[in-house]
Amino acid sequence: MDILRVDHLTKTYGTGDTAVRALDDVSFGVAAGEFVAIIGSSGSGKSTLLHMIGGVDRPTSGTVYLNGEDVFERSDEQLAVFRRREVGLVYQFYNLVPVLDVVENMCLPVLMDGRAVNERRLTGLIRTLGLSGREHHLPNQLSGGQQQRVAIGRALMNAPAVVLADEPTGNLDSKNSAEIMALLRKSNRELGQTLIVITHDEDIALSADRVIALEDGRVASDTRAR
Amino acid sequence: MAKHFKGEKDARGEKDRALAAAVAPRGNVFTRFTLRSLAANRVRTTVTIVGVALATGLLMAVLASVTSLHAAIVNYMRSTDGVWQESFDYTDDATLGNLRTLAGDHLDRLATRRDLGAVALSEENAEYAGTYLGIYDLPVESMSTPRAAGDTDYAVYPAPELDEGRLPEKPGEIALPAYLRGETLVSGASQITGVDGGATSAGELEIGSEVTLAAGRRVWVSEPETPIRSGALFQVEYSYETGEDGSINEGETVLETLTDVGEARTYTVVGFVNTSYSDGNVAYVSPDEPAMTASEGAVGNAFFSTTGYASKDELDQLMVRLLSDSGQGWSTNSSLLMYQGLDTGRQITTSLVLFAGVLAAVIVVAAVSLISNAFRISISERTRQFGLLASLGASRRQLRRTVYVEAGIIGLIGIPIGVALGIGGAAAAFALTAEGWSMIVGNGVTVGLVLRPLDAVAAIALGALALLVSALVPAVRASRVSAVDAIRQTQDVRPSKRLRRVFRRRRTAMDDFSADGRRPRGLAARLGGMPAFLARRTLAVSAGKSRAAAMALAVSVALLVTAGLVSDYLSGMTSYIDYGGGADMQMWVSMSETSSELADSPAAVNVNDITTDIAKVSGVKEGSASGLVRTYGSVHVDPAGVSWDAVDAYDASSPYGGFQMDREGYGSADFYLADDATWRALAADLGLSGDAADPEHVSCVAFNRVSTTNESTYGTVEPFTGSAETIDVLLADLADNQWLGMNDDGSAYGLRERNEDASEVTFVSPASELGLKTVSVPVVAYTDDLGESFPIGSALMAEATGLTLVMPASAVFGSELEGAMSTSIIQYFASFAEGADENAVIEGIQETFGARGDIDTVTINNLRESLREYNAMIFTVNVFLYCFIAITMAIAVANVFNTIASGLMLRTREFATLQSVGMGHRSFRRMIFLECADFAVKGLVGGVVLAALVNWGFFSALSSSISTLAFEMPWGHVALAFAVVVVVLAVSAAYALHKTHAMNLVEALRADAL
Repeated sequence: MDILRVDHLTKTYGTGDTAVRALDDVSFGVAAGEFVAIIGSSGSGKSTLLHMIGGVDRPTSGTVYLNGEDVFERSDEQLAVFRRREVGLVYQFYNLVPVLDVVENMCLPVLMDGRAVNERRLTGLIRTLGLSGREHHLPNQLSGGQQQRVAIGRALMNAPAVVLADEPTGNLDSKNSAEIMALLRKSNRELGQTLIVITHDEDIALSADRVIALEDGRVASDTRAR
Repeated sequence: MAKHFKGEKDARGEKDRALAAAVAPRGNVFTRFTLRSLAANRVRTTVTIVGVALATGLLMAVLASVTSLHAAIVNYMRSTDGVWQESFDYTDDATLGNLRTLAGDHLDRLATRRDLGAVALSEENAEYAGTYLGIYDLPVESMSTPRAAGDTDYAVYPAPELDEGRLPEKPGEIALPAYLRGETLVSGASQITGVDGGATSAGELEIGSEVTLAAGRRVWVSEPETPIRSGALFQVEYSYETGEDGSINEGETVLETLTDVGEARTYTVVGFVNTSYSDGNVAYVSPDEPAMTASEGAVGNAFFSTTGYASKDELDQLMVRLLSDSGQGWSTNSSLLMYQGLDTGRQITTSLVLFAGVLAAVIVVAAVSLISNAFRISISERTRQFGLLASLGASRRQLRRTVYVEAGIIGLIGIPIGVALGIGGAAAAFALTAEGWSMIVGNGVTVGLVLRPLDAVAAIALGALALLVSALVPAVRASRVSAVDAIRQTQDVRPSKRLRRVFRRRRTAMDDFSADGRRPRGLAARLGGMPAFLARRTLAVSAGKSRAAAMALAVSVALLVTAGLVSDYLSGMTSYIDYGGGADMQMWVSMSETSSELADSPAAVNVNDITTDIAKVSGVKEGSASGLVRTYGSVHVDPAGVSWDAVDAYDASSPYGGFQMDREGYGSADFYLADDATWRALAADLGLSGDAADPEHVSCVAFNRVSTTNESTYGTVEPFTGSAETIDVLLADLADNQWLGMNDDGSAYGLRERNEDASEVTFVSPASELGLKTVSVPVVAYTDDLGESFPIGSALMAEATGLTLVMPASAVFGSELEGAMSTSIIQYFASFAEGADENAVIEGIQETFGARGDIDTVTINNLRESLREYNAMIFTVNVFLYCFIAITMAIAVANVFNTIASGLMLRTREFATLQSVGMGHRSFRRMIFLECADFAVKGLVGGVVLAALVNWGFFSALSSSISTLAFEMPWGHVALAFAVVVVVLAVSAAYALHKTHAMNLVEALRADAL
């Protein structure tokens, strides 16, 4: 059964002559534990799609079902709860909160939810992410690769239904890129984490279970690796 | 979620680029870079430029106003007293030559006149016209080399002011002081032993009359060689001796005499002049008039002005050298010297200068705060841009220069606008208030904007200095941004030392959380959850920034409080001159039958009838007629109801002697008995109702204000504490030679008695021991302001030597109280209806009074002119006050807006991140609220401290001229200012959050700040 279903999703920015259709009737499903790569040229609607799935932006029409529930039937306040529990977002530019240390940044979604931090999961993630000894550093004391690992830790901390990564390696050198992708794949293989990654990197795309190509806001192709 | 319009943004970008290109089509890359970033942040750039313009404008306006007023006051001095600085008497013309030699080029203008002598008047004439009539000729300017700019518009020593006729032009003509008009001068012994009166006239003096005068020289009895100026006061020494029985014996010794009396000569009266304070009782003749004394000598009076002297000391040295041989003294035009800056002293001027100084300091601090905040934010916003430039090879100097270029561009636009605004604003304010200023300054001196290049230079320099100081720190910071920072995408957040220490102590990952792992460690999270934790952390990490923001709020609070304080102090000052009530006409009623018994005076008893009659006269404004019977009597107040501190303050500074009340609470009081309508209006103003407002019901309003203003200082005190619920009016049945009053040393109030031959007055016994019957009158209100509807101004009411009570006339007449009061003045008041013919109304009222038949004479004064003058003065003060308040408000608001809005907008991406990881709107708003609340509280604390400093400055400045000024923290203004700041803070935060939300969350997350 699909854990995620994108249903006739359409997003239009602006009105009238200046209207831009970023997503045009996009539909697909993602099974639990699947590793999906979304590729496409700039402006093809990749990021818009990811933000819709992550509940960061609302569609013009169509909807997204996660675990069988309509994401956009929720109010803004419920959507916030959805974001902290059900999805983990990883961005190209890390987007860490500059005033919080590594551990606090990682646990932000848990704390927002008012739940207790799972110590085993936290220490396990810190070890896995190679952040031992950096627990109490602020983001500006970390390298880019380390910051991105904190962002991944934040995405995984809540064991979300799906992790969404928007060009997670776009801002990193090849060594760091490889490490980050290894971490993401590891979470996919070992924890069965459902993973959707937007990428320009052919190697990453090829290592995915499935590649969805977007073109002008439409699904151009949807191929499964065999 | 707000939609984002791509097309629009692009269009705006085009415009910005076009603007940047238009301003600097060429120029180096740094200038272009600066221009572009200024254009890109239009709101902040505008706010900054407006801030610079406002601050410069305010400085310019303050400086221009001070210069203009100063010029007006100096002109006033010149027009009334002349431009002379020093004056001396001489008998030998060589003294003038010596002056020329000693002063050299410093001597500017010189005028001389002759003191021809003094004429003794007969005792009969001396009764009203004084012992002597001095004779001066008109001042003549000679040996002058006019150089001082503007001085030639005014006389060295002004000619006497004509009341009628003309000034004498040839020998034999004379202009007499106006008080002699209509009098007949007769011969007879004078007030000086052995000297006969030397002035006679054929009949009542008028233009064309002849007067015969024999003038002599006034000299000191002890030093017969030393002359006294003929116009000077009669020199008598008074002495007092207190006898054993307490009676006082007065003695007087005449210190001068008249010698060298010449032949009597006859003169034709050609004019009457107003006597001036400086000349005294003097008649004027032409400069060609021959000498009048027997020895045919004359004393010369010289008046001269100088240029190039730096202080009064230098002038004094000149005078000492000039007059050391003769041993003569000299006199100084001290007020002119003071306003010319040659002499310091005189408290009121010092006060005003200090007051202006405090204001200027406040403005400069506010300007620096406003501008530096704008810069600081502008620079931190562009940290990455500077890093990028550094990575591309920009040197530190070039980066610093970028900031200075930005400051320069803002200054080049803002400062000229500010100077223009300041000049324009001051010009408009002066144009609007020219009439009021002329009345304040007096003597018909016109007051207009006087521009001194120095003021503009000072305003520009201060504005530029504020800008430079503001740019200094950001410039250094910009030059320190490293290329690494540019490439690293983190924002400019560095943990504070304290936070680093806290983090260093944390070992394991779970150290960041509370024991149950449900929330971050720390008090904030325990009390307020995640929003409080995040807010607290942000404030702790960016301690420097939040301090700057709190400081900006504090400056704004202090600025607003300052505006309130200026308003208080200025309106407080005008309240000392609030002599006018609301009425246009004041009618003095006098009775030929003089009796002090209240019941005997129909003008008093019929106060309601008469008021009603006045109200019926056509052209009298509806509801404006009122009548006040001023009486006096004795009262007893519970000593706890009297503020003895106030009484002590009164005793210390009042020019009228001690307060008429002893420590047991016995004393005298003025009663103002009001007609029914006036009482009702007063009751309504004071919010009274029921019996208290009923004029048939015995009650009183205690006027809680007594003036302690004397020659050098202003002041008022409140004699009542307000605790007494009743005041006892004493009913004393006294003989004709008895009355109630203070004893000689002012320690007790009681019965005084004059002995039979009227030679002695004795104090019989204190009032407390007389066993007097009393009537208890309830006090329905204590007030220091009787309101607009009361016909006598509060400042006038406050000129009293004892307590003042207002009572309804209807309740007093016919009651026991009637016998306890003695009438002194009966006055009626009314105003003109709109468009009424003033003279017709006055005539109508006269007829009404005449038709009644119970009033002998009435004098009606038209107060409208003086009222208009008073209102113009108040208006003038208010225009300047509100201009100041408006501009300071604008600066305060701009400051808060800049700090808060920019500070929040910088964190767009952080906010987006928080939301993307699941922070709800409510939590988010709470976090922002808590951060802002933190600023507000710190701003309030800082604001109170700053406001206290400013208040202390004002207080110190003014306490030298207002004796009863008390230092009080203006909590009301602080609260109001804080409320304004909080509202502006809220609006700024709302604006900033709207802006950050207007940016699509998605955009914000991707925004790469460049």
